[in-house]
Amino acid sequence: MHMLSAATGLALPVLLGALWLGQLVPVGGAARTVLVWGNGALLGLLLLPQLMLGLDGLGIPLTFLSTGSLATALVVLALISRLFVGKRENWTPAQANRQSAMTPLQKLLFIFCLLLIALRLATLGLEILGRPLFPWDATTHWATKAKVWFEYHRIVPFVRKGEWLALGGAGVFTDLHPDYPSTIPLLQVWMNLALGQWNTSLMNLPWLLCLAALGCAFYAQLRIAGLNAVLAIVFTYLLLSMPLLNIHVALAGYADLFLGAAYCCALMAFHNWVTTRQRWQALLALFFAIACPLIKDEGLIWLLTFVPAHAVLMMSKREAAKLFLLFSLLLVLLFLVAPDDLVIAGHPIDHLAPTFHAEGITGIVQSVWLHDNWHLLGYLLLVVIPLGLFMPGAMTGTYLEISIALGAAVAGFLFLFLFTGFGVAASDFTGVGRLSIQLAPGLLFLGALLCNELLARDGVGTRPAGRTA
Amino acid sequence: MVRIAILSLLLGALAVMAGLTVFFAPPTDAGQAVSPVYWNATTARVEEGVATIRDGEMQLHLNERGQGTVQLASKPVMASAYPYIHLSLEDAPQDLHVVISWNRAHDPHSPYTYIVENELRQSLWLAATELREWTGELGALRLYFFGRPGDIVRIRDFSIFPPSPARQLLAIFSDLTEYESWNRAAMNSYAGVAQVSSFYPVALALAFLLLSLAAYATLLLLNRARLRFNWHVVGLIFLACWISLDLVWQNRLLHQLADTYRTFFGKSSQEKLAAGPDASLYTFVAAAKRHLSPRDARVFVSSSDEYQGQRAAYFLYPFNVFWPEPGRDFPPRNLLRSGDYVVLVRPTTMRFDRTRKKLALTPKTVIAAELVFAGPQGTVVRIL
Repeated sequence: MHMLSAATGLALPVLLGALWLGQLVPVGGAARTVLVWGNGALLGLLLLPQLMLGLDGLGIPLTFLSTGSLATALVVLALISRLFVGKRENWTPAQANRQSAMTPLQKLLFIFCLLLIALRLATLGLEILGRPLFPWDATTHWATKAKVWFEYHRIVPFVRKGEWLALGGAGVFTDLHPDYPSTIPLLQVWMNLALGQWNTSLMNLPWLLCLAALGCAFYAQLRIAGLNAVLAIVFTYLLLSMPLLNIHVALAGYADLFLGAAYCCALMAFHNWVTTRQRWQALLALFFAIACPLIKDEGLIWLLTFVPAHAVLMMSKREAAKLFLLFSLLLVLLFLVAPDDLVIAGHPIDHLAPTFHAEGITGIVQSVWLHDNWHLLGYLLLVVIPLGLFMPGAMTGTYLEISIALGAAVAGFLFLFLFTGFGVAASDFTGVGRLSIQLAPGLLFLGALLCNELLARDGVGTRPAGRTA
Repeated sequence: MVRIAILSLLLGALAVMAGLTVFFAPPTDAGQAVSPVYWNATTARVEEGVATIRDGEMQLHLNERGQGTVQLASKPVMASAYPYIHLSLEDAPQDLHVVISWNRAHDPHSPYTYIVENELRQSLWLAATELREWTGELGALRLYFFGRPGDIVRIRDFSIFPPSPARQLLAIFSDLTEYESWNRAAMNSYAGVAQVSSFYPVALALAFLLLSLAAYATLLLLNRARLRFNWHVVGLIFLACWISLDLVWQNRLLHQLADTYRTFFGKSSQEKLAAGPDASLYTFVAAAKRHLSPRDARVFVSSSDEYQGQRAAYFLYPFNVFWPEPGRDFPPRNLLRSGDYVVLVRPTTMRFDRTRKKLALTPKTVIAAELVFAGPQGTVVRIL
């Protein structure tokens, strides 16, 4: 019975996202079904909490009936609109990247990778089913809110300790991070509403779904970007096998996996929008980019990384360079004149004031290149990014925009751990790994594009999809 | 393409093994030729617990405190001559803690210890050279067991060995297949090694990758007429190295899954919490919560232990919980009011005198309070 309720709790957001996304994505593209269900599942998981936020704003209690009815109504609406809106096909043959016949060996490799992925997802899924909520932050500021909101059927405000004391706790609650976004706790509330009880294991199933959805979206967007099915599944396996990503599923309860998935989906859709100019990709990129700060505070920084990427797309390189210079000067000015109590992405500005922390370097190097957090991703990037820079028209052409966005994100990451008070979170590994989760999927996507480019230029494999005129 | 990739990988694997056994073998003193010190009826001594020996296997019954100690007796030996320890326990109880202890011959009262992290102890090869203070002339070598009273530990082997290439590889294999259950730090980083591992798995996989690529380059050079450089071969080699690293991780995940199911299978949410790592704390809080009302009651948590305090606070939600941030003071007396609950989770600096009905927030600040619930993990009081 519990499993059936959990399945319902998972199915509704998936249907919600996939059916509406299916309206936008034209038929005929490469791996369309995987794309729609992968992106759609993640979209639904992130959209449902926003619907709950809306219901609460209207004063409607958060129950399975209210939330489920609204989600079901939207699902039915999507189904009805499918009947009235005809199927559109606007893929050019190059964009469609339809599957060419695989050799027996390629088929074998494809199936082998698929089996490895299935084994990993099954292992993680069974771990989730067995284990109660365990990780530290999950019990200090994510599930605390979920427990209260589930009990009260409304979003009771959480305030800082001082405010709680001043108000005498009347109508307010407190925890370690009362101002964190509500998306993740609401997702937990939703699962428990579906289950009809507070279940410390089954409420974590969205984390498994998130990883699977990210894998599907990753595979499909790689196919759209021009990779053949074998190369796309190989890179999808690399993504889904990375240990720290797996740990955040097995020990579900943190927001980093969702943020990493949303940022990666935004980057992938952004890149494929730049190369294909299909509007639905732009919409997808926009949705996932905006979702980032709704998941976790640092998501705002990842959202902002699209600004320079977009600037490069919209203006000449000279103008873009001027804009970056101006922006850098503004940042310096901001640090000089901003009041000490100004908060950026959840952190007071005095904590972000630049001072070099050499200890952060060791932490970052160990975390990326020595520890097994990401298997061999660090080394893959060490090779393909310089190669990408040397390949004419690769990182300076076809992949310029996504490279700028990721470059800005990596710069932000390095700034945080090398030049702010967060340096200690790199040296003791408490922060560097978790923040890497938010960037690693996107970096692997870029790595996959560059590998494909490398193979294509060698005359073997397919050429990446070119920009449309 | 596939054949050349496989050949390169095989050559790479051979080169890795050769490199590990030749260049990274533990240093030995020249001319030293020693025999292993084997675990047998002559060398095994029981110091705590009761033992019977059958077919070369010792069955040790832990004493009433759940402890057992055995010693591998031998004349003093040089630590550098014995860089490997082999430990083999059959069907070890799940919660058994194993500690290896040794001391120097000239200072028998200063023991050094290593808590065996690897929870797979059927045949564990330890690179003793990675143990701090495994130096000089060794005196006694002991194994301590901490479990439940009456637990039986079946010791098949506890021997020390001189260096050999096979043992070097066995120790690395033990490192790679080691298993430790999830801990608090798991969310932040996964190093892939135990405290005494000789090599990071990523470093080994990187060596495998580079040496396989070197083998591929050599094969290209030797067969210039027939072979041409192919990026796909490089890709296949990279993928194979990634998969080899990932199999190590998958193996660990499967052990964890088995462990998780041993602990939690078939249990309800509450039963899982009562069986999990915070079992005693959860049981205390669950019992205490039955005495709290109304549902929005203010509940203050006090504990000097950050972990215990925070976990108790979490279990207490959805009551209106206040847990002071780590390092911050408990709210002053004037902010507390009648009807508030204070949960004192051990250890705590606050003192409650149930006969005088007084709660000492600090040695100088005392308020009236009554006992609501008391358990082994703490006390719940209501402010009067």
